[in-house]
Amino acid sequence: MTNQFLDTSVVIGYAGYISKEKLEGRDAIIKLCVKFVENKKGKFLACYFTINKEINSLLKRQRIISNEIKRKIDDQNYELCSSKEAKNGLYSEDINRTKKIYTFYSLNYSNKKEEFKQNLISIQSNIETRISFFIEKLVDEKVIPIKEIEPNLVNMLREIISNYSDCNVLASAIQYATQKKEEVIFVTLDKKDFAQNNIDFMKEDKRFNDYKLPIIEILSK
Amino acid sequence: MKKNPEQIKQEILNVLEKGPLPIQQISKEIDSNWLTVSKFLVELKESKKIREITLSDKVRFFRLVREDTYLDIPIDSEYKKLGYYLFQKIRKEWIEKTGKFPKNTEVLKVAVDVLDKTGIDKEIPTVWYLHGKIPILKYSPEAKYDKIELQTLKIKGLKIAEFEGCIIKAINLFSVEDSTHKVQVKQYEMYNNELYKTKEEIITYLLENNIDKEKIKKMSSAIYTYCPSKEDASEILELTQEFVLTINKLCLVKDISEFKKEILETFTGVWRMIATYMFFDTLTRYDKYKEDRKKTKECYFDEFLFNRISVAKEIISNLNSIYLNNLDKIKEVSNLPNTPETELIRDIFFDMGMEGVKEDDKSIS
Repeated sequence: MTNQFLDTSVVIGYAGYISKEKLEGRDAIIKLCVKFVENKKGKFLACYFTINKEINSLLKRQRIISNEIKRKIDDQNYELCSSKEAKNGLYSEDINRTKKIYTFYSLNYSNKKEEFKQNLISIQSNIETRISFFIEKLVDEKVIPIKEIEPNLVNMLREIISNYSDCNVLASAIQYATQKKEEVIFVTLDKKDFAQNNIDFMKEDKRFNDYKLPIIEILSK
Repeated sequence: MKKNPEQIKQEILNVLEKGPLPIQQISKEIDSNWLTVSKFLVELKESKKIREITLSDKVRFFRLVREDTYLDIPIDSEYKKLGYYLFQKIRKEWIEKTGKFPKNTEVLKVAVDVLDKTGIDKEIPTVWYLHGKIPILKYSPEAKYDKIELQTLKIKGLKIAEFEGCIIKAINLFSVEDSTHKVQVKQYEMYNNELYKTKEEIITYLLENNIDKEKIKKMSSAIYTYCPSKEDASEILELTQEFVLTINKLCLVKDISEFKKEILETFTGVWRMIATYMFFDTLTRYDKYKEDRKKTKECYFDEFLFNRISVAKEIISNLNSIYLNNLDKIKEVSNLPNTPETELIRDIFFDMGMEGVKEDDKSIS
């Protein structure tokens, strides 16, 4: 059975599953992800860049966002994202995300603030629990320590794929397939960065001749 | 006249009665030179009569080690006598009313009620701590407090009749309860303190029952909900959040009641950390501590809070190890609830995840 190397998007998709009767748009994509995981065939591989960098950063930032919203609910005069943690830990895009959640609170929960804060930590818990379950129980092997990712390979990939994280995860998959000399399926939800023409560019580029490229499988409708 | 070493040391202790001071200030106050003061400060420190604190601006302060108050918070000597009168009077009236010697909690809750209602708390501050609101002046059930005539105290505007009346009213209020637990809860109710009510619910639940997963998840979430969130409480908030998230992960294990003892121990550690911050936060509601909140924190609380935070970190990490050691007992994980806020937060989380990390991400340690 061919090993399946999971992109971070698969972990995130699995974590964000809300069971609904009608699955449309994002819910439908996420459902595909859950189905794929439930019908697991072969070994699931995830790289340390996904686990230790991407997921870690994501959860840290999400925790900061929750705390910022709690702060603002507790003290109306507090300026969202003005704490040291927010300034040091959040991306500029995260500030608007925080404001979006706070606006939702103001419109729907302003007279039920304790309930909203409780929901906030509960949703956070649910997401973290699903991620932890996925990484600790469903991933069979964690591979390619971050320090071992080849910078040259990442740079070559960046000529084709602009996203820094995607390049590191794909580089990990390529290095794994090359080192093990085995067929690897790289599973992702990301249609944009891992589009077929990007993969074709790699195949045509002679610099990739020494590497074994994984087969890309995009989970989509 | 030249002062002898004992006199100088006593003068140093006397000026530190009012609160921590830097060496220059002590030297000025007792009219002795820097070198002399410095020498005796070392001696006093070695004999554990004073403590040295270095503030964030590197200035060294010296604080009197006190037996009479919590965390060495200073108290004016006349008000200290008034406080002791209060303890002694509560004890006497309680025995008269109930025929029983009052317990520690009962005396403290009555004292807080009297101090808050008469406004004397401005001089004998009352603060929220481990088991509710207490005066900063320590009470000891074993102590034999000297008989004091209120009229002899040098306290301006003390309304003796009102003060005495308040004591009787407070005793009437609290002595109807048949347990110290009920006395405590009554105080939490009176002040409508949801954080303390939740703490009590969690401890009672963990002591008495098998654990229902949904209930413990809800209770621990409530602690996060009411946890202090000011900027100087960020570490406390983060660790409380971590505690709640760990409890939720642990709830994946089939029989969580197996870990009741460990959960209770962890919660106790987390609570000690939160309560120490609450002590600081409520003390700084008083003008003399509010003025320089940062200095108050550094002078009286930082070292203590640091220890409490370190313990909390360690026990939360131990609880997480229990989860990791029981992974083989975990079979399934629940879906996210179908609510509009879940969908919004999930979508934001999904977008963040799809974007990946930036090359210069500072959030990754």
